[in-house]
Amino acid sequence: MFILKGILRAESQEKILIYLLVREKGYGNNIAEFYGFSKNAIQKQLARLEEDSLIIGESIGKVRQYQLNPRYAFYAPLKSLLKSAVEAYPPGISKELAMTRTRPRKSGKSIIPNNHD
Amino acid sequence: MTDFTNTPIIELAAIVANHLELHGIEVVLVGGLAVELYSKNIYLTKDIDMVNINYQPPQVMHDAMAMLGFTKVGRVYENTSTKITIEFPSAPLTVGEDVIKETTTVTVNGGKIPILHALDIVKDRLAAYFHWQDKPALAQALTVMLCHGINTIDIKSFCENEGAGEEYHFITTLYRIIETSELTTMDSIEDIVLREFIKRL
Repeated sequence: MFILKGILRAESQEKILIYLLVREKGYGNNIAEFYGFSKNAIQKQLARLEEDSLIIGESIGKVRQYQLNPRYAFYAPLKSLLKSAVEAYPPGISKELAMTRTRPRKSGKSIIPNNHD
Repeated sequence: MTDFTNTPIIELAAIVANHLELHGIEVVLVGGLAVELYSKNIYLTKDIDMVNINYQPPQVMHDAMAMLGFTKVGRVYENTSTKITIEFPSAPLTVGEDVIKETTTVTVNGGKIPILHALDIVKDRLAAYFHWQDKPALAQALTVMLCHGINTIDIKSFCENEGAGEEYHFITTLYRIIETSELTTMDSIEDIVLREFIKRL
């Protein structure tokens, strides 16, 4: 599903931006894993979006964490557009994106379906 | 008794807590099962987290758990007859930065379970939401609040102390919406949290 087709260059760009809008921050690998995209495709689009100043990245150790760039000239309309796209998503997908456990789980604990501990 | 094939999780928690007490180990139930107990089983978990509050050495714990057929695998204790796992996070009992000194007990099939107060469970889940933006934890906090008549005013100072004064207003809004809805499943509560979360993006 590519809601903002015609505005963004690729579906993966939309996916990245929506992920960062809902979860506030994200790593390339996690974004790729969530949507089932290849890591390379996501990394390539992250680099483009960062180059265009839509997102900013911060290196943490060997990985790079991304978020929407609050200083992007069209930050407010971009957020508004993305929000409209999220609202148009099937509820199941937006719920999976927003209502997934994000607090840390100790190593050695089993992963319980539905994100319940 | 070492076969817990048909033992419900809450009963198993009581059996373990009572057994450990007989061996001089005091534990308090925290985490997901405490949420489940306080949310009238709306939230369902598969593991038991209990803090060993009198700091008994690991070997004493191993020996006592072995009598119930549980062996330690990584961080958790497992028993081949059940999928339920048991973990003993390190003491002290804390919620956010506060050390918890007062707990309570609930009586269930299988005995009594020492447990955090419902308000402390709510704070624990809210802390996860504030610090990790964990929205399922927010849904759990709201569920326990509504099941136990904990009003938003009771968490106001906690929210402010955690630097989440703005979130307090969001929580109040959610509380009012959920209060007037049918409280039947965690899914329906999560749906309301999701809907309101998207609205405020």
